[in-house]
Amino acid sequence: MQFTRDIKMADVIHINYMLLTILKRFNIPLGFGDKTIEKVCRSHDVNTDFFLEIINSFHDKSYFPEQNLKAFSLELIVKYLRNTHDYYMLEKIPEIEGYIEELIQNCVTENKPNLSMLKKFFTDYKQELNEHIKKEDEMVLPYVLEIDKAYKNNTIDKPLYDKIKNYSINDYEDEHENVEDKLFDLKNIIIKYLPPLQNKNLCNTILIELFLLERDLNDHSRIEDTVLVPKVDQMEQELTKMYESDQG
Amino acid sequence: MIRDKLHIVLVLPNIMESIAIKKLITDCGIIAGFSEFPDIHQLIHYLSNHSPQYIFIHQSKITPENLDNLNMYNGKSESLCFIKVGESQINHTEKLFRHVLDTQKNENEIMKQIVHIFEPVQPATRLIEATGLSQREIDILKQVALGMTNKEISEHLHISMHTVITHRKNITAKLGIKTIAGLTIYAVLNNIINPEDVEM
Ligand SMILES: [Fe+2]
Ligand SMILES: [Fe+2]
Repeated sequence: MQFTRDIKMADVIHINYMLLTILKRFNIPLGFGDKTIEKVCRSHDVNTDFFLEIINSFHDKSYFPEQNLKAFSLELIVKYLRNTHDYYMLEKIPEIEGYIEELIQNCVTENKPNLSMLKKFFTDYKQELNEHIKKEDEMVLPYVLEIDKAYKNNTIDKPLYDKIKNYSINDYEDEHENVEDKLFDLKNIIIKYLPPLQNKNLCNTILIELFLLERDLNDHSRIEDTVLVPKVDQMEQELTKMYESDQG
Repeated sequence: MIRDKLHIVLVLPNIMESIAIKKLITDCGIIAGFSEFPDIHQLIHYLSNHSPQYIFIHQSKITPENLDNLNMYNGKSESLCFIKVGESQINHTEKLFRHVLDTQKNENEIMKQIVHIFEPVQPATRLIEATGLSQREIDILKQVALGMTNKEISEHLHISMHTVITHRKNITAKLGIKTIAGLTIYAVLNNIINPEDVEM
C-alpha cells in the first residue's frame, strides 16, 4: 500500500512503526491526535510531498519513485540526508556500541575474548562509516549545494567550472559496498558463529538494531546513488555546456 | 570438523532444577547431550554400559550406601567427573565429588562455578560444527585471516591466482562472510588461527 496525504498520521505508525525514526528526522513529534499526514506536515513546516515519497519508499522497497524524488529541490534532499547522518552517528551507532559494551561487562564465560573481538570489529565499522559520512557532510554535500546555487542562478564562473572538471559528483560519492559488507558479516557472525551468549535478550536487541540499521542505510544509500548523484550529474553537464558555449 | 558431543548426566530432585542447570550449561557455550535419572540406583545401572563425562548429583539423592556404590567409579577414568549440587561443604567420605555447584549463590556466581567445572573441556569441542569447508579452503582461509594477499597465497601454496580467487569466492559463499576482518573472526572462533597471530 501507499500512504497518501489524507491518511491519519497515527495510522501511519500503526501500519509501520519503523517509520517512527523517519518522523524524528523530519522533527515531527508524536501526539498528532487524528490529524492527517498533510495537516501534521504543514504544522511542522515539512514538505508533504517529499515526506510522502520518503516514507513510501522506506515502507515499500519495491516503490521507488526516482523521477518524483529527483523533482524535489537539492536543498530538501541534502537536509534530509544530513539529518539521517546525524541519526546514525549521534544516536544509533553509540546506542549499539553501548549494548555491545554491556554484553562484555555482563559476560563471565570464556566468550569474553570473542566479544572483545566483536567490539573491535564494530569499532572499525564505525570508523569506516564515520569517514564516509564525514566526507559527504564536509565535501560532497557542500559541493552539491554549490552546484545547485549556480544552476538556479543560471551562472557559472571559472573556479566552479574548473572544480567540476577536476572532481565531478561521480568521483565524490564513494562506493557504499564496503560499509554494507561489514554490517552483513557482523550479523552473520552473531547469528551463526558466536558461541551462545548468556544474555540472550541483549544479544537479540543488538541483532534487531543491526537489521534496522542495515535497512535504513540501504534506503539512504539508494537515495544518494539513484537520486542525488544523477541529479547533480545532470546539472554539472548543463553547467559545463553553458560555460563552454559562453566562452566559445 | 564434527566432534563428539559432551555427555552429561543429571540426577536432580525436580524438573525446575534440571531445566535451570541445563540452561546455565548451554549458556556457557557447552554443547552437550543430557541424560536424566530420578535416583542413583538407576544411574548406576546406566553407568554399567555408558560412559558420560560429567555427572551432576543433587545432595538430597545421596545416602551413605549409594555413595559406597558410586565410589567404585572414583578414579576409574580421568575423564569422568562427579559434581555435587547443593551446599558447599563436602565431608571426607564424599571425595568422589570433584566439584560442588552451590545453587544458593547468585546467577553470576553460579555461572563462574560452571565455567570452572568445564574448564578442562577444550574450546574446540565446545561449539564447532560442520563448516562445510574443504581442507584446501581452510588452508586458504587461514592465510587470508593472517593478512596475506591473494598473490602471496598463490605463491605460498603453489596455486594460480585464479584458483585462489575461486576458493575465496567459495569460502564467502559457504560461510556468509565477505570481509577479511569477518573471516578473521571466524578463523579465531574456530581455532583455525590463534588470536595472538593477528592484530585484534
Ligand atoms: Fe550518506
Ligand atoms: Fe553515502
